[in-house]
Parts: sequence; structure tokens; C-alpha cells
Amino acid sequence: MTRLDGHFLKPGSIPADRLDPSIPLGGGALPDGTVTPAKLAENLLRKFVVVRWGTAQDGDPGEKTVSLHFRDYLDNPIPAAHVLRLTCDDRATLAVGEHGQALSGAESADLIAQTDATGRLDLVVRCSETATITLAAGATQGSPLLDATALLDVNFA
Amino acid sequence: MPIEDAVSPVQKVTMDEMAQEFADRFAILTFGTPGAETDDTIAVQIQLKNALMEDLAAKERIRLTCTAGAELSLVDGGNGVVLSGDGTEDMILETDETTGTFDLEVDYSGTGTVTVVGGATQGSGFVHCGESLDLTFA
Repeated sequence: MTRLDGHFLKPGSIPADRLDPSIPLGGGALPDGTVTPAKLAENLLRKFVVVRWGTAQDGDPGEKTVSLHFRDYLDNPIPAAHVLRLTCDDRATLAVGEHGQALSGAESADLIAQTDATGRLDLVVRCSETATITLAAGATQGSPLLDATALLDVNFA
Repeated sequence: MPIEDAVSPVQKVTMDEMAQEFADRFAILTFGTPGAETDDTIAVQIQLKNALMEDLAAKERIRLTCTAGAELSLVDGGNGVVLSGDGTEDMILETDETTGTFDLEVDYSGTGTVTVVGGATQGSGFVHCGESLDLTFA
């Protein structure tokens, strides 16, 4: 890149007088309200990690399995191993299935776990009662910026 | 026309340039002006703002803690929901989805300053809780 009066210009860039008139001039500033997640570079977009729950599947009696994935704000998968905390009410316990690993609290209602390198975590939820168990995720020590707004209700009949 | 007028310098995207929908992904916890103390109780409204510091109408889960000995709760009939810890110094709340507010009530029978601070918890999105609140009880 070439330094030009305090600004950076890629070689071969279009001179200002050949730009589309709709492109605003004046310091190159973007119009207010135009930056969307789609305009972020991939490595920046992936700093904002969103938790997505899959659908609960039946397992053994009193047992359900559910997968959790990481997505970015464009709903693309984030293939990364990240740490997060998972909680539910005391009537159920949580453990890690095939994908991911438990770091602490396995077989309890307060689990700290890590997704596998694809960003997937398989949870095994066990409950011996007829109940709806709400699962919540959240950030903890070692977590990235995490949007864990989505909860999941798992029904045990 | 100098060409540099059309060139966007590196590291110059500002908050104002964020699209509304994008700015609304980032919640900021703010406290309103506390009311007067009545029967050892002070009410104050929590309001979520977005990254542009505009009122944000959203449901967000926040953990509130305060000085030992004080009690946190929801104003009777107020906006928001208490998820756990009602009447304690460690409460998890949910803001009202249509306004982004929570009507907080702090009860303290002693005298002095009670500090209230928020934080992210299970089920939170991207929420910034850098602002704390000092309430003076006489």
C-alpha cells in the first residue's frame, strides 16, 4: 500500500474523479447507519460468537441429547473450540456426549465445557421426572464474546 | 478534487456508521435518576441502550448485585421480570422486551451508600455493564 497524505491507498485504486457519484466523498467516511455485519471482515465477524441450539433428541429413558453450535452474525458456522458454561435447574444433570469435552461439573446442573474444533458440543441431559428443563448457556472464564440469549426447553414426559 | 478525499483511512469505522440492526446487537446497561427515599426504599429504572446510546427495546438477562445488607427487587407492577434472587443482594432479572426497562427497587434499613452493579450471566447477549449506581440512604 502507498502512503498518501496520511491515508492509505491500494495500488490501482480508482482515482476520486472516476468514482461513482453515489460514493460519498470527504475523508472517505461511510454514511451513518451503513455498516452491517456483512461488511465485517471474517476474522472480525468471528469475534462475535452466537450460541445456537439444535433440536433435542430422545436417548435412553430419562435422557435427551442436544447439540449446540457456534454461529456468527451472518449465521455462518464458527469452527472453533470455545469454553462456555451451561446450567439448568437442579432436577436435571448435564454431561458431554460425543463432541466436545467437559471441563468441570460433569453430571451436574452447572457444567463448564468446551466445544470441539468444529464448534460443536453434544450435551446429554438426564432427568428422572416429568418436567420441562430449560438450558442456558453463558460466558465464563476462558470464553470469547458470547451471545447466549437463546435458551432451550427440553421436555421430559 | 484530491484523491485522498475519497479514500477511507484504515481504522475509521465509527459507531454512527453502524446499521441500526447491528447496533441493536450490543446492549448497554444504564441507570436512570433515582427517586427519593421512602420507607428505606429507593426506586430507579434500568434502561438498555444500544451501541449508539439510543433506547433499546429488548429482553436481556442481567445479574445485579449490591452492597451487603441491601435488597433488590422489582417495583410492584413495574416493567421487567425477576428470574431469581428476588429480595436479596444478588438478583437475576430480565428487562421488559417492549421497552428494554426494568423498574428496580432497592431496600436498605441502614444509612450510607449502597452500590448496585450489573453483569452478564447465563442467557445474556452482548451486554456492557460498565456503569454502576450509588444510592445514598439517610
